[in-house]
Amino acid sequence: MAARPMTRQLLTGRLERTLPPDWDLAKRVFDDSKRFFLEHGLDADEAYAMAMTSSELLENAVKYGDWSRDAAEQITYLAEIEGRAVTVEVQSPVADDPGALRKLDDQIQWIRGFQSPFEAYVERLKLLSSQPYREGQSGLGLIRIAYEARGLVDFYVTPDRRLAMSAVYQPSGLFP
Amino acid sequence: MTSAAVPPPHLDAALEHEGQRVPVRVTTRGRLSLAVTFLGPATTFAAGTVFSRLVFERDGKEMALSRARLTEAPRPGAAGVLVFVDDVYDCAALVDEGQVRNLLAFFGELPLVLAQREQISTEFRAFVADLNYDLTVYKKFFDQQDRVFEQEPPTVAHAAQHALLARAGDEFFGYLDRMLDRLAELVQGFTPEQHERHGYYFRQQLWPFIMGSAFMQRTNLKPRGYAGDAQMMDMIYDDAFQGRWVFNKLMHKHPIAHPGAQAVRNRRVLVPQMLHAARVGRPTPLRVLSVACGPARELADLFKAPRDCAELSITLLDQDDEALQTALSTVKGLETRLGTRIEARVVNQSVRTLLKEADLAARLGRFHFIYTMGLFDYLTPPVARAVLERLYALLEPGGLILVGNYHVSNRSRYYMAYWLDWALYYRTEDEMLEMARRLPGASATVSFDDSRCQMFLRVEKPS
Ligand SMILES: C[S@@+](CC[C@H](N)C(=O)[O-])C[C@H]1O[C@@H](n2cnc3c(N)ncnc32)[C@H](O)[C@@H]1O
Repeated sequence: MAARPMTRQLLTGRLERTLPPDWDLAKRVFDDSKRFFLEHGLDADEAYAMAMTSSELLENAVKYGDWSRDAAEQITYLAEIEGRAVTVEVQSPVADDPGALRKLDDQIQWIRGFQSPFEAYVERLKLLSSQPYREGQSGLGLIRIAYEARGLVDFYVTPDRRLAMSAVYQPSGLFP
Repeated sequence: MTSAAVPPPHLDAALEHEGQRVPVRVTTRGRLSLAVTFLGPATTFAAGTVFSRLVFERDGKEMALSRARLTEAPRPGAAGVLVFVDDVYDCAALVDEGQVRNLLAFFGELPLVLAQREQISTEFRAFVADLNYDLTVYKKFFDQQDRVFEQEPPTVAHAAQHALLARAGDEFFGYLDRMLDRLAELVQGFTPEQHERHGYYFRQQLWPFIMGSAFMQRTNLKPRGYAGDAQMMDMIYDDAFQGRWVFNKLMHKHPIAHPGAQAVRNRRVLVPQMLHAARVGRPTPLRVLSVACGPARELADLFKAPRDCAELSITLLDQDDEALQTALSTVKGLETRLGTRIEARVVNQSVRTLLKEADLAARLGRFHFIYTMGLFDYLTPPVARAVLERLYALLEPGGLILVGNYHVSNRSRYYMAYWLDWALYYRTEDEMLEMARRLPGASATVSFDDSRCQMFLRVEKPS
């Protein structure tokens, strides 16, 4: 990875999209978001990582969103650069299932509980390698965001029952 | 009344021997061995017999485990013992859940972990090696003394240990402080990625010493799934030696004496002070909400006299039921001490999902004071903003919110990250104020505690 300049400035900005939940959504947003991050001062590796993060969160929204509730529901995507934080947030309808939400909360805290997300990745691999798991249930997606993109994953549920899932990246070497 | 003994969970399976399948019933004997009973008519196998596979059916699929040896043959009234030869299976998971968990399977991934040490700076390696060497020397010395003390009657041993702690404790703490300064010098300019890599390397190398401290053991292992659980907080509040041996005592005490932990003890006093000051002249009763309350030790300073109990009610919210139990015992203790009832209520929920309530005020009520310490340090900006907005909406006109957050310049930052594996979302003053900027009509200020590790955002709602 190329060395980053000691100090640099990012441009404040937002990219917003409202989209129907179809399967190539993630692919379509990838290029747009990568361009947005590049244009606002992230380097190529960082922009790629944030675009990858965007895809991962969008795919999750399509896969796990509660699309049976209302055909008019859509996905909202937000990429934002403000101050020291580069944020991607994806909102999608979520079923009111306290058990599933608690599990997600625990998973987020577990991942964030490691100073080095590599450790979360290794621990997860240990578990996965020792037992069979079903496709799509590896739980590696969010860990990959943490480990490969240095994104701090977090979420909340809005009063209109939408899951707002986000990843925040804090670039180093920001001025001042 | 007689109660029938509940049979232990079992699994019906078959052992393969010379091409034949022998039906068996297995139960767990320990985590890594099985008790086995042969179900077929008159089957006898001698101890030492090796079976080529253990097979069973689960959800219509055949599952197979590798070679197993009979280490004890079954006797009348006693099952035989079966251990695995080529792999190490989790037998509890096998019998209780029908899961095949091979504990050795991760072996193949070890190169990934080993590769982590590439890209560790030469200086950092040397630093860790020195630290390892020095700690070994200190530990050996302290352990030697402990062995001598152990021969003495308890009161003598206790006095001797006390003298050693007093004599050598400060010096050892001074040494640890200097090593922390050195650590800060080495890692200050690191990118997040470098911090993570070096932090991981650091903990791998110093693991035995880290595990020698009750506090660091808990922050690293996180038995409740997150750092900062009620027991960790209690350790910080108690600020005492813990452990049997001198070395363990010192390794436990040093991190909880550090400024970052002092900041926790400071806020325990400061928050009630700020609330008492804000109480003056307001009509009572006043409703108070503590979000992410943990053990709620600060209540001792909030409810100091029976008058406080008459004038204040408290709602304690936390995601962890164990924390709420601790908080409730804090309340009970105070009730006994003050000889009166405290109006206290607990809510077990995470703030992440609390926000889904369309009418939160209907569920929780409205409050004059809301405070939340040790929570926002875990919330990223989008979530922190959303939580603060909802809390602000719960505030009565003229009400006050206090939000604690560690500052980017927390002097214990690298201690926490590298030794304790305790990562926080640090903020600047501006970032604290920024969170409040979107709240309608709010006036906000930021202040620090004496340790200057921690900030308090104070948000007031207009009357
Ligand atoms: C560092 S402790 C602080 C406890 C207490 N406020 C104090 O100062 O002693 C953090 C507490 O926050 C709780 N917590 C963490 N995340 C939470 C969430 N999303 N919702 C509610 N409580 C949470 C934990 O269960 C834990 O009890």
